Amino acid sequence: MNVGILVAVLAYEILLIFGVGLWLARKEAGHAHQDGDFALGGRSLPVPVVAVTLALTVLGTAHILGVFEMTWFLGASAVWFSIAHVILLVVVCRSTGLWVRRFGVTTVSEILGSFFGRTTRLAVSCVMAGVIFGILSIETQGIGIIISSMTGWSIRNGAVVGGVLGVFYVVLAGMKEIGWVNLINACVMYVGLILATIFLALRLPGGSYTTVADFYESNGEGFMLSIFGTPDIMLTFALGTTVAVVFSQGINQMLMQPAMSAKDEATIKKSLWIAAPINGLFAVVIGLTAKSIPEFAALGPKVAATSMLVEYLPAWLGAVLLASFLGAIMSTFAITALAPATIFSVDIYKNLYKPEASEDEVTRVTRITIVVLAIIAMTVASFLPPILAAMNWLFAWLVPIFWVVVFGFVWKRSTSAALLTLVVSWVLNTIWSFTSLPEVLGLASLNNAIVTVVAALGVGIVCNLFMKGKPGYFRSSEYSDWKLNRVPMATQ
Amino acid sequence: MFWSIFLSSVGLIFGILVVGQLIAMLLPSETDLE
Repeated sequence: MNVGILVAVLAYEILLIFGVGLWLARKEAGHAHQDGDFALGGRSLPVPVVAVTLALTVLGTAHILGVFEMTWFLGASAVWFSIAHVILLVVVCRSTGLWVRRFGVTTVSEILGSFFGRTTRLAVSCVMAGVIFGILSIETQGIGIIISSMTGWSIRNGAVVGGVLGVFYVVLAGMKEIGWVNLINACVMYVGLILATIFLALRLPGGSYTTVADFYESNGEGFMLSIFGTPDIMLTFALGTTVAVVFSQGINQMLMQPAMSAKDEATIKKSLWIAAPINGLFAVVIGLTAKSIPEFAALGPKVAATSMLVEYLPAWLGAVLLASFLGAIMSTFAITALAPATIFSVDIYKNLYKPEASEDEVTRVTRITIVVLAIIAMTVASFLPPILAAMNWLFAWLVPIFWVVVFGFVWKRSTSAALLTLVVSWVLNTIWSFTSLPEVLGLASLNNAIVTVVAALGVGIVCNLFMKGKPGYFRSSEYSDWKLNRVPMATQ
Repeated sequence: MFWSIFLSSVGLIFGILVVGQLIAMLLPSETDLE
């Protein structure tokens, strides 16, 4: 790796993160701190910041390194990984994201507490914080892999350097810092990707992507060039990914927190039109091109695309692209550190131990928790299981929470039904991952998230039909009162 | 190749956004206050 590129990439990240962080920290220093200043940017973020933060929160290791790798086997239909996230953003920006903003809460668990009581709130807090910490450790591994490929260092050392930068991405000024750094990173990334696609075409024989298309057609793999692939790919990959992504991430604190930080509900709705197209579309073209060139094809699916970018692009453009990839992964790292730290400081520390804690104290606890979680994530990053298997198990924990919240808003609020739905789905998820039940049933290829969608819907519907509870929140008199007065709702 | 992948992806994304918008308009007014 060219030392000049490495120095340029790290210098860009350091200047950007410290520049924006210290500027925001200084700007905020003279102001009296209000509820949610650090964790939610004072609930004042505008459309461009909310939009890119929603987009870059989901755009992490899997979107960049994962899609390069998936394209190797699935062709252009790997883009369905991104399309699934577009559908997720529609769900967030048109329903769950609006609901959490309207409720005026700081964590998703507060809504669970309001609907189903303290036990449910605590159970969901612990599970959600644990799941997001798991994602944090996987993102740390991703940062380690990228820095390791740039430098030849071990993944552990790469994870430590990237992790330290990732901590500063959030710890100086919280959600506002993540948002504004994201905005700059997203602009750099888009300019970099568009230029990379053009430069790549110019380096190919004939100066266009025609030779890439010819390669697949002459090998009888014409389906690799269509985003609709084959019926089999659509049914297993596209549909499976969409179900898994939408119903697990649709209520995840790490996506809800940017929505809670928005200035108002209209901001969230408008953000969708910017956030959805940011979802990486160029990765499949780069992945397909790498496989069509024997020199890079020989390197295998994991490193072919990144090696081609380093080799084919001018050094300055390679640096821009690597800096933006690292920025996108670190933004996910930053919000996956902020989200569980917010859950801990609000749902555990303030809720259980110190209800009278001031905003400054809660912010201090959040900052300390971010640093502690990041250190643990850096320590375990090089011992993790394969990324995809870990993600499947982690995301599936969130599926029953999504359905319990949806039922609570639109249908019925029954504590027993909610707890039963959560517990049955969580037990089944663990059995599915750690026993041979899937093989015994001949369903080994079934994603954990799909299993928990079926379990949560089945148990949830049956229990809510037969168990007593209050009407769904949108059908309740509390909501009618709120519509008249527009005061924040009580949580417990 | 590039343009067919790019345009079909962009078309699909905006198609999803428009369908999402239409579905949201059909939801009860409780989910759409502004």
